[in-house]
Amino acid sequence: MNGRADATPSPSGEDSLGDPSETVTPSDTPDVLVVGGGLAGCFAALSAAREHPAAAAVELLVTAADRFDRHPGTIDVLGYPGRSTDDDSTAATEHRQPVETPFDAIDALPEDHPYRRLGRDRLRTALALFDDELDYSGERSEHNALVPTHTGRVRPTARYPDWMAAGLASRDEPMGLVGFEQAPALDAAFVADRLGERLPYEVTAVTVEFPGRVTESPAGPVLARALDGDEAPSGDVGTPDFDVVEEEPPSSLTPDEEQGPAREPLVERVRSELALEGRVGFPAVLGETAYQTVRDHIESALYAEVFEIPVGPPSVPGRRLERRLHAALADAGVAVTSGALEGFEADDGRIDRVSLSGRDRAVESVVLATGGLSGPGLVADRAGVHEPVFDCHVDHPDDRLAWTEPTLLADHAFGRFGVSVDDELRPLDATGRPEYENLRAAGRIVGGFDYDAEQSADGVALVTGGAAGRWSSP
Amino acid sequence: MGYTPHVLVVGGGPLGTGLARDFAIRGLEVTLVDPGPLAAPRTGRMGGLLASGAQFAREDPDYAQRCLAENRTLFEIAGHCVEDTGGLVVGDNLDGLQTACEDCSIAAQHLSAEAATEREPGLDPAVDGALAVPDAAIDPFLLTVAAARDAREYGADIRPRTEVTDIVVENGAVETVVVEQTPFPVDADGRDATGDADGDATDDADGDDTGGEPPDDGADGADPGAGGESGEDGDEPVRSDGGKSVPGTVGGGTDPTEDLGGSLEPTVDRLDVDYVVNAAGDNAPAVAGLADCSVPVSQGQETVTVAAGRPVETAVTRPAAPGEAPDTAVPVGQHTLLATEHRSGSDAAGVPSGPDTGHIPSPLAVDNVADSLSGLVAGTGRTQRALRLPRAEFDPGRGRDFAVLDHDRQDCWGLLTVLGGTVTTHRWVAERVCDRVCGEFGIQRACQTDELQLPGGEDVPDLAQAVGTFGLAESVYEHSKRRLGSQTSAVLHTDGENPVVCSCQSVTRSEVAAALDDETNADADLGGVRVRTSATTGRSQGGRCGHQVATQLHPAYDGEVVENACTALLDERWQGQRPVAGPQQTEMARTYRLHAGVMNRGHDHEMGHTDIAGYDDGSHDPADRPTCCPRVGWEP
Repeated sequence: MNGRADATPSPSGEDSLGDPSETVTPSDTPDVLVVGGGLAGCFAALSAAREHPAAAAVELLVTAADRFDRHPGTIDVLGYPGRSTDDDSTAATEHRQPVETPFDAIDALPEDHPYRRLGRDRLRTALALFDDELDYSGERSEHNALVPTHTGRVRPTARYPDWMAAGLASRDEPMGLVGFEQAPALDAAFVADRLGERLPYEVTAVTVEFPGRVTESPAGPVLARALDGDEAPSGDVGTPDFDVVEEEPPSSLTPDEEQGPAREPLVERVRSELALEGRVGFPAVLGETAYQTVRDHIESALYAEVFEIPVGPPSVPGRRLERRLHAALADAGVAVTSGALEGFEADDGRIDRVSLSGRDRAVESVVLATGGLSGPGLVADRAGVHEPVFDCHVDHPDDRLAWTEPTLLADHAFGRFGVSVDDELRPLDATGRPEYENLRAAGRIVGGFDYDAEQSADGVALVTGGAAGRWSSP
Repeated sequence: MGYTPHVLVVGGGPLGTGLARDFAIRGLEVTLVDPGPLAAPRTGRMGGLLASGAQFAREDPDYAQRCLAENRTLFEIAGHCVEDTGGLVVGDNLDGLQTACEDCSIAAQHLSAEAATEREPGLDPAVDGALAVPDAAIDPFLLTVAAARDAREYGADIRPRTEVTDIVVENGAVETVVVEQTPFPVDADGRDATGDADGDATDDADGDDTGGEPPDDGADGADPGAGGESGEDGDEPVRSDGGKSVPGTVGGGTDPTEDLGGSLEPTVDRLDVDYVVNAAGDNAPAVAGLADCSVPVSQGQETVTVAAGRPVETAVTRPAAPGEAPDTAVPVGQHTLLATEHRSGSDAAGVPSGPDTGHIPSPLAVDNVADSLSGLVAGTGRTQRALRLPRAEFDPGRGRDFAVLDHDRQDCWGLLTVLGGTVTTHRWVAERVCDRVCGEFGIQRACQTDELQLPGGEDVPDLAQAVGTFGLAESVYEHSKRRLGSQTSAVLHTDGENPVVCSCQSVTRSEVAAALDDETNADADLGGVRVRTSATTGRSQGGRCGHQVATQLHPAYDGEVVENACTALLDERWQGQRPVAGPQQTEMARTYRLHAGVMNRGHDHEMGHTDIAGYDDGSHDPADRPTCCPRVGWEP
């Protein structure tokens, strides 16, 4: 099968995705309906479609448009297996080194963890499909890579896109960072200080003004679009009337010169400030679609390898990942629609029909991949925590104050909220029986574990999405 | 030069800062201490209502008229803290209330249900008419900070993050007060310790032997004591040169203290003060207890929830039972504050504060706010956070009126506890207390706090036409201007870029810098930045912007201080969201995911060459290494 045709950026450097003409018309009777357009949902739909390319009609219902705005674009498989249960757990947890090889650490997880439940072979299969469909790096190493974060920490990850490859913190080589005055999400001097203190090589920083005028906040998407189109942003401010005041208008308020290009002025500003570095990191706003071209341009101008550090939300790298996934979905013949699942009919423990934004149709099987409490898969209201689409059972304490701990970086109960599943990923009701025979869950909606603390959310999304998708395919 | 008495004010809320301002303007030597940043939500009523008095006209005409007078005064002196929203009073017997208002000279217009709904579409449809009255909204944070800054400009020593740890009494008079200042926000535990102090304080209030003594509300009859003679006798207040007239334009960055990250031990200071005014709110009994004095209090309990946006544009109130605060829904800036009161013992919702709850209410109490206000407003909006405001009042209760207790009756001359009052009347209360304390020293100087404008409140021409929006988006400029008042131009006028660091609240880097430069803020205290700028009070409660605000401390402070300050800021925000149901729980999950997951702030790794050697360095993928780096021969 050829899943790469549209997933790989075209020679022009433009991600030719999101073109409506490429979308697949939904079938009247999708055999498989995947609800939820995050990584798990996309991957479930992809897996279902690839399992039996000819036989299955697969539809992906995107219920929230912003799922990837919070995704940093890496694929984290396992960084920290389990929390230490010592009394002094905070200190112990904080300084525990991330695991070097995720597959070796799986055995340390509890038996009902998705990795243990589904097994490492399924995880390998899922990663292999991801590697085949998406153009990511890291697949040639069983080891985690360490990537820098925009607050000066490092994070273990298993797969990273090409635009992060040069920036691995686990590459023992100095790096320079470039910040933009208009994008305070990445304070380059601060991040360089923090990384430099913690890594065995020098990290330097400069901060430059992005060409043009930027008044939007957060600035990331505006800067990315400016680089995509190579046109400096013009901002959005009221026009001053300088006649009213006698003094000279401050220089920052003088009217714009002709709106010019963005890329070349940017590299000129960086070049004049930056010391010689072999690799240079930017906030990940270097284009949302033409990022390949933009990076090539900057690399050749700076004579350095260029990488990006995710910032956000909104996360431009998340949107890039989404575009690549949607290209793969289009290639696989998956129909992608947006809207809400408004209702469903079930009979004899099976979901037979669903209502989708005015369309009413039969389904063979359904994958629930709407995400966790971070949205929109779980809803917390005065009555408690609910799964709003199929009203699956969600175990949680009655006392609202027991959902969270008093401090942000703690072991919160809500981190584990979700549905309980059986070995076939079917959500279970309060008595431990499957809610519906043909309903499976994937991704963060599968409860029991804090995937953020484990740094495992993406691997779990892939292995549960992959399995749920394949099992749902007739 | 004559003798100038040194007064210590304990408490940094509207009343405490108002006291410090009044004392300073009258020329006394003043020190103000507060264990948190200023305007921590433990003092005074923070529901945001600048009352016209209409709510109280029937049962307490004197108080109602005082409210009206203070309402007008605050419009004059603190225009940038006040928004003329107008007010609607709903409830029973509005005709009777209207008559009572007229007797108090409070303009009150009886609106039919249709007219009321037309005036305020956010009213509950079931509301059967309303009284339109000149209520307004007041931003208690801006007010408190402005008063503190003004006090400092008149020479007061403002010390946030400073706690009174002992009051030494000798021969029946206050001799020395020991205070401890915490240099930096050390970690979450340090922050918790502040909250615990309040929880403990209420326990110290009972079990005394003078509890039956009625509090003294009069200004007369106290011993003149060791009063000194009046110092300078001129009535003209003198602004000291030490203060900054405009933050952010003088003095450059924060002091690059040399032992940054080194000495995190509290600084202990012994103050030889002549008089102590205890305005520590619900913490007042504990403060008095340090001098072995007691304050007989009854605890009221107010729950305030903060809703996103403005489901109402008018201050909507419903008078409550006599002696209780009205139910209120008041739009303040980009939020709406919803408040109900619960007397101790009257409702199970007022659960006692455990070590984990501190100033946060129980979920039941939060839900109760929404229930209480249904029937008042159509929707309460999206609740972002909730505060539990323990409200200490003298026992027997004196309603909403203020009261003072002179501890001279407990063999401690030089200590006065003030409780009660509201944000509307705080200036008047401060005036009365200052009159009395000055009287102790034989000083007779007129109060001028009702004439002198607060910093930011001065009348200045609107600069928007003249200089545009300082390169900012229009909405950012408008929100900044509302907070900054007459200092808008000084703060927003920057040479370089001035990006927005808190998107929800439209707070720019220069506004944060001005707040950090404010001498009435403690070093590196982002809580102080929050009350000055409203940064991190939007939808994500700092989840998205907290780190951006925190890195404004860099490079003046090292990375460790920045991290701790960020954690303290976010933990404070976290607490207030915990009892709230609904979409805010989703926001909390997103904040956790961002900080624990994407940023990996839960782990801190120091790694040497051998440590990182065990991880993928990308070299397995030689094809991925670009070949565009012929660094030889390149010249910059």
